[in-house]
Amino acid sequence: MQKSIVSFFWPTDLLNPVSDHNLVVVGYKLNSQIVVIDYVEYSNFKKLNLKIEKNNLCLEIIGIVNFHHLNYRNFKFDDRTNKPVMESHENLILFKPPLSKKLEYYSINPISVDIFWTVTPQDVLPCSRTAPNKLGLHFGTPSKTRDLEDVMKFINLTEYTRYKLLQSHKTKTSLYTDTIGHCINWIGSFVLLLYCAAFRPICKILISVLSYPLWFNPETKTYVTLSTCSFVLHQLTFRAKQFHHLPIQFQRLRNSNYETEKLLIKGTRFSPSEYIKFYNSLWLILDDLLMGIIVSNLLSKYHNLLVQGTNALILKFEDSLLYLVKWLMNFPGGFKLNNELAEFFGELFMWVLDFWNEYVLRTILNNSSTIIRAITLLVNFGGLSMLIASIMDLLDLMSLHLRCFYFASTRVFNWQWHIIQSLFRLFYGKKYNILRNRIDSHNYEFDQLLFGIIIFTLLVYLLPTVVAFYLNFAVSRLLTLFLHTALEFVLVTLNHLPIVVLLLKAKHKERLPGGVIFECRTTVNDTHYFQLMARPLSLKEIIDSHIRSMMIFNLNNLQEFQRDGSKANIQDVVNQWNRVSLVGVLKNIALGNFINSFDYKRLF
Amino acid sequence: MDSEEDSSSITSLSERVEDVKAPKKQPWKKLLWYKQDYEDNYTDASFLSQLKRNSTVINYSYWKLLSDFTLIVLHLSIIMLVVLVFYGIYRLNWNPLVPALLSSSLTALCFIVYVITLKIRRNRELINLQKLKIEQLTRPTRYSKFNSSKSLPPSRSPSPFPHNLELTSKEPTLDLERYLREPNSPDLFNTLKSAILILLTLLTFSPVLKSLTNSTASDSIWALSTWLCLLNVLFHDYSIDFSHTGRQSETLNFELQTSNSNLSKNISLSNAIVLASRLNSNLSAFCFIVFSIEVSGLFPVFNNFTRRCQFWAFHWFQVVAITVAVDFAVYKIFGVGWFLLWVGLQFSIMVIGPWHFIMLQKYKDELQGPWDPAKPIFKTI
Repeated sequence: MQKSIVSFFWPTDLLNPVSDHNLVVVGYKLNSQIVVIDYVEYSNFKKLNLKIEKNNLCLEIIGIVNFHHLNYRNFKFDDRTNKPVMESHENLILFKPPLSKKLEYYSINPISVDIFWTVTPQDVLPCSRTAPNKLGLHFGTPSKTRDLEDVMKFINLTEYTRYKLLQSHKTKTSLYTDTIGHCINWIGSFVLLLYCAAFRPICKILISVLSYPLWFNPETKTYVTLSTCSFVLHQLTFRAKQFHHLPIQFQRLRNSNYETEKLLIKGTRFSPSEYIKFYNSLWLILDDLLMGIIVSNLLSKYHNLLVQGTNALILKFEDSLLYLVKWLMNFPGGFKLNNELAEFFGELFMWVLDFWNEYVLRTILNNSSTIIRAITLLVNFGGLSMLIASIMDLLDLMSLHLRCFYFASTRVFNWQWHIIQSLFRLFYGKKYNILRNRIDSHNYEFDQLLFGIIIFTLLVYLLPTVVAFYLNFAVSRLLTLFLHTALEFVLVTLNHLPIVVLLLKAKHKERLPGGVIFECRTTVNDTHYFQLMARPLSLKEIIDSHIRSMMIFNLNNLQEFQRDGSKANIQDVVNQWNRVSLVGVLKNIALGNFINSFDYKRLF
Repeated sequence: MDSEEDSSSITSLSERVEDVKAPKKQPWKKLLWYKQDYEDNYTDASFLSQLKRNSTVINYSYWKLLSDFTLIVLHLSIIMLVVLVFYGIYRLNWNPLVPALLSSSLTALCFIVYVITLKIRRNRELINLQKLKIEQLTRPTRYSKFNSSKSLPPSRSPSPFPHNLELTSKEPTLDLERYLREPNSPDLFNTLKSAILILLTLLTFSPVLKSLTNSTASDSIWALSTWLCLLNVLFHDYSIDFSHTGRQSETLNFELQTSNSNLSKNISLSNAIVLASRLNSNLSAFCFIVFSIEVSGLFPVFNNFTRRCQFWAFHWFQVVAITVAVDFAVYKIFGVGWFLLWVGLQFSIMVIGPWHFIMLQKYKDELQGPWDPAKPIFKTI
């Protein structure tokens, strides 16, 4: 009868004991897996209490080294390879014990990267791995997987168990280290309390003021708040929210040490990325503030140059717009437009331009120095992201008239295009049937035909003029939108980069487990053994996981701005992000619909 | 055919030979899934018995074709008339009010005639129906429909209704107007309203229309107009034929034939608008468009009406008058050369066209069979 295969999980730091004392090997035994935890001296053995916790973690005696006993197996070590000698039906799997104080551990499933403060509901995102889960629900997980999960659990608890073993036969503890530890804890709690009492309410008031719903826009079914009006205010709100959530994250971090083991013992699902959140937020804020101080110093140093540059830029902007409209009025590019209509449009736009130049741009020109000083001050205390936010706000303000032109010409073009389409069908004797959503033939009366033909011919001849103006303003809007979106991406990177995760991947990979690998190796003696290694998260997995958690963050934010009746779902978030595609934008331009970028102020 | 006969004779021979040995085969049936005694590639003599060749060949009569082709000539003359008037206003500085007023007064006159004629015809039909109803009511008993059709006296006036029209139905008060086939005369108020609307719209838009193509060169406008005229000739619906009512075929129900395709009207209107944008003053643009609408939009309706009401003398009068007037105008304005060309074109269409058409009939080879989609027969009343 063949014996069933037994696997020994052996830590790599227990390979060849240097001492000649009699040692007892203790560990956990599962069905056919054995996890070796530690050596215990035989002389200390009797004082041991092997039952560690109130839970069912029961250590057992696996074997013995350097002496013989009747009941237990004697392990011999190979001198050359330092590995224990195994029988033919036994597997040796070596593993490096994870340092749980440093939050290293093994995990079969890759962890998710989440740097936001939102709670991740499990059923919001369409799970890409539903098929194996559903199979698992029907047939139950096979016992082998469960064994492997238990083995992982025991491996992760190695250090904890060793600590407990050490404690149980150590009689005196060091008073010194204990007192210092308690002191530090006490100071930390005090600081936290101060922070919560003083700073946090300010943040809360600021958030509630800036997010107070001002009025409800029935078209887009969202609220308009102060923070959705300007980028600077939005950035301020975001900063306040970050400060507001910091203490919670800090508390979680403090509890993470013993919380880790508790959760592991209970076997609940544990995501270590809680501790990533705190460090990430702190890092990003510090980054921002430091870079802000640098940039504000730069700005104040080159203040005069900046003022001159800005003035020149504004003047050039005015002139080029006027030139553009004049160009359109007089045969642009050799195209022959309808003179009367072109003149009418041109005069209209030029009048608005003159008005705008006179009142708005002149004031900015006169006060550009003050504005730049104000921005410098803001950047000093707010960080680099404030600079980008204020640039975006200024850009919005200055191109407001362009936006109005764009709206007007888009509406006209849209109407004209639709009317031409419908009347073209009339030309053929067909009509769009709303009830059946298709085109049917229709007997028109003679006067209807007449009327339709007159208007159709008129509109067809006026179309090139309208198209010329529309394309112009659409292209200019596209350019501003492009600039806008680029700046928004920079802002997103500054505010929401998972920088801690990336750094961890670079320096301390064991804290980001993405699965386990068993590698088969041969020793010089031609014996085989396995090495258990943790696979760190790959960059693609990090990015995917981060994008997923960002979408959930977006969803939470979107839901804040809606009434209780209509709830946004993840498809709305995806739709918003899909607006940033060139093909979609070009299609909208061709049809005469409005082009928009994603709504940064509501999504973040 | 020969091979089929041979094969049939061979099979019959084989049949006689096999008669001695085996029982007689069932006659071959044209059924797909039925297991028969014949081999798979057996071709029976009766296989193509449902094939019809050239069943839709009509024996055309030359004079009938001639009268149909005159419709084409009429349409061409109308288009030429519009072009002539435009040329007159544009080049020869005619007073634009003259053609407009002329055509408007003629239109008003013809409209009055139209309304009166329609009213008369409708009343006559109503009277006929009532007579029929009275005849049916005074018959003692009701036999089957076929018997009653035989016992009816022959109708005096050509009644367009089938003889088996059952008017004595269950309800006591019968709305006879349901069975009328003549269309109602147009509502005067509505017509006046839409006419005024169109006129006022045109008046309002005439400055815009005048300067619509200011920046386009004249040559492109002439080219565009030529293409539009050509398209107009091509897409016009010449197929309305009202001369069948003399004979009553068993499958033909007398239906009101209307033109479904308005494409040619639309094209002629666009042509008029395009041309009008070359004129100098608002008034001339407005007058020209009104004239063109009336001539190329409303006149064909009137002509259709004339032909439908079988006023053949009036119809021929219209045709001859317009053609001769256009010929004369061409001669006067464009000169002898163009006149000869124009008359030659008309002649070739009217005289040579039908002859060519009949000559081509002998090349007709049309197959019809049970594989064609079935034509549903509508039963009315």
